[in-house]
Amino acid sequence: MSAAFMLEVEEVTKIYRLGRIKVPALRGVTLGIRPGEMVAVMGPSGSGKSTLMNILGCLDRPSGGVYRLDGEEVGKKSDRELASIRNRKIGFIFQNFNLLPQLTALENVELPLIYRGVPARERRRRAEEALVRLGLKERLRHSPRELSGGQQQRVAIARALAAQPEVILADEPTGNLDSRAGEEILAVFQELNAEGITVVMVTHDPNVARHSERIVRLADGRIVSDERVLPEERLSAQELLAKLPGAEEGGEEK
Amino acid sequence: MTFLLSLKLAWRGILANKLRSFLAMLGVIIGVASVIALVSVGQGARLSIQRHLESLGSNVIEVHSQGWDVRFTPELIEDLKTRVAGVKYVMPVIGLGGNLKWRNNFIDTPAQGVTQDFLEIREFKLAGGRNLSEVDVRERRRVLVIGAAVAEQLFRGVNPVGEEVYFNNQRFTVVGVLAAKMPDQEYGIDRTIYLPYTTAQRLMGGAGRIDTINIKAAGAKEASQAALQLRRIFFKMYRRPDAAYVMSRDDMLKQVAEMNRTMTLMLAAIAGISLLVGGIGIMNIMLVSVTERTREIGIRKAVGAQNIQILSQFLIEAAIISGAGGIIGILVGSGASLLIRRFGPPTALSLFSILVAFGFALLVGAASGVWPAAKAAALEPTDALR
Ligand SMILES: Nc1ncnc2c1ncn2[C@@H]1O[C@H](COP(=O)(O)OP(=O)(O)OP(=O)(O)O)[C@@H](O)[C@H]1O
Ligand SMILES: [Mg+2]
Repeated sequence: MSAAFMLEVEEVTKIYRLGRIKVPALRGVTLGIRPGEMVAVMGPSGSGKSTLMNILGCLDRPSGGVYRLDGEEVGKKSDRELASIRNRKIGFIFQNFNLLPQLTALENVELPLIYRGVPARERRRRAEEALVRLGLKERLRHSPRELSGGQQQRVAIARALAAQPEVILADEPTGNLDSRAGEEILAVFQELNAEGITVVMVTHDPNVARHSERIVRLADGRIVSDERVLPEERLSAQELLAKLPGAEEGGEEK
Repeated sequence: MTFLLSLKLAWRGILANKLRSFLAMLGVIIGVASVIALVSVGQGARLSIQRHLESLGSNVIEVHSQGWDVRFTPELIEDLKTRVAGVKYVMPVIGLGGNLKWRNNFIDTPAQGVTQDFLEIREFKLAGGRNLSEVDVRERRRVLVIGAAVAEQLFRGVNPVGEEVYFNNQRFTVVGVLAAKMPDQEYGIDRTIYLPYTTAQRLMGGAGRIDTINIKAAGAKEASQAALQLRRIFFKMYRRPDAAYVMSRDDMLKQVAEMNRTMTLMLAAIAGISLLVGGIGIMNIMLVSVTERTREIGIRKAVGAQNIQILSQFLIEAAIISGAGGIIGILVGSGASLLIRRFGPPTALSLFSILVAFGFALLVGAASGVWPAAKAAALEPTDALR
């Protein structure tokens, strides 16, 4: 196997320590995700979905097991190398947006490019492009505080997109969006996926999960099922959007 | 990442937390300002005493009578010229003061009854006219040599030499004008008039007692030896140590410098403590802010910031706060020093204290900003984001 996978975990465990108590959040997860795949991760609350995503996103290190990203073992990398991986390879979209409130939407989106050293003009262009793509053309200079939850989440997604990552990891990306906005996000994901970007998203919504081509289910820190979505059952966000009333390109807030 | 960007991020960080930044800055401002103001007071005191002593001329010894029975007679003065080794001039001095009037202008001015030697002893130069002469002294002539400031204030552009003036209602002729020695001092030696001591004696009637002798020695070594010898002479004459106060200008200068070093050090210590307290203030606020901003650090790390990039942002933030605080502190401290000079004792700003205070503020600011930031930057992103 190995190099054929974009993301690959083998017997990965994660144990949180709360004082003397050990909380096992992952109890040995083995999973391989190929380049260009679109995978949904489901499971009840507390089953370890976010923990797994954090490890995949190099935001945390596993307690045991091996994680290979693009064939390279992450456990052996320095903090500096991990920062560079987070910056270039992975776009992480959080459940709670995680925008910097003191920066404008545009500046938030520029942030990963700033740390990469992209020249200002190029940075601005790419950040604007990403925001326009998410329908936030009129909100470039707004502070996150002045945006709705849905808009903030879209800024966060734009931030991930602007960095042109190989992998997008999204922890409940549509949880805070209404159905139309959520569908737009899924359309973006499917579009990116069609361009070859690997997408992994956590969701509680089976209909959201059906936009991917594979559904992995977790329960109590273990994988309990790993199924392909039948091509005839897979949903196309573009088609669904076309059917929704009042379709308008790049839909601004209603 | 370029420095400019760190700067911009840091600036935004400061603006996003205006009150916090201001409070941190306040500590620095107070610390730096108090160091500068207090040290300037100490320096000012030292300089003004030093200047006064220097105005006496180098290698000069002053002898003051300290009792009604201690009389300095012209005979004694002649005697000292030969008895004391290494002495170039011995001159009686009578201090008086009064009103000087020319046409409709008048000023109050201190005056000294001296001999023609005063020019050499005090190291004056003539700007115009002539010095007092032996004949002036012998014949008790009513002639004056006036200080530069007197000339300027009383005569307002007219050449005073040859002019008739009234000193305490007695008619005098101005024969000489001195060149300015200390132009920046309002009541310095340039604001004094000199007349023959014999004339002063007559002017004052019975009160015209010689209470001071000025002695100029050939060199510094001779001066301190002469001072010793003079003390011995007066002790023998009066059988008590305090009959005459013998003060060598150079010894005095040393003493004053010593005294003032202690005073300046003490003021600097007080000010240093306030700077330290200010520093602890920044440290405290920086610690709180980094703790508060752990989430921000987590977000930055999540999008790929390296520890060093986060650190440099916080370092620059701290440097801007303490640097700006330092600059404002310098301005406030200098302003305070000028105000004190205006309404109180003289002050003198010291570049050294400004640099030390500013450098210390920067250092404390940077250290206190970076240490907690380094701690936060070392967290795993998930831990910082929680
Ligand atoms: N930092 C932590 N310290 C201690 N325990 C933790 C920590 N983070 C997560 N856990 C525990 O690990 C388990 C898995 O948490 P995780 O956040 O991965 O669940 P999840 O599947 O994402 O749940 P949800 O659907 O509610 O987001 C839970 O029991 C949780 O309480
Ligand atoms: Mg979760």
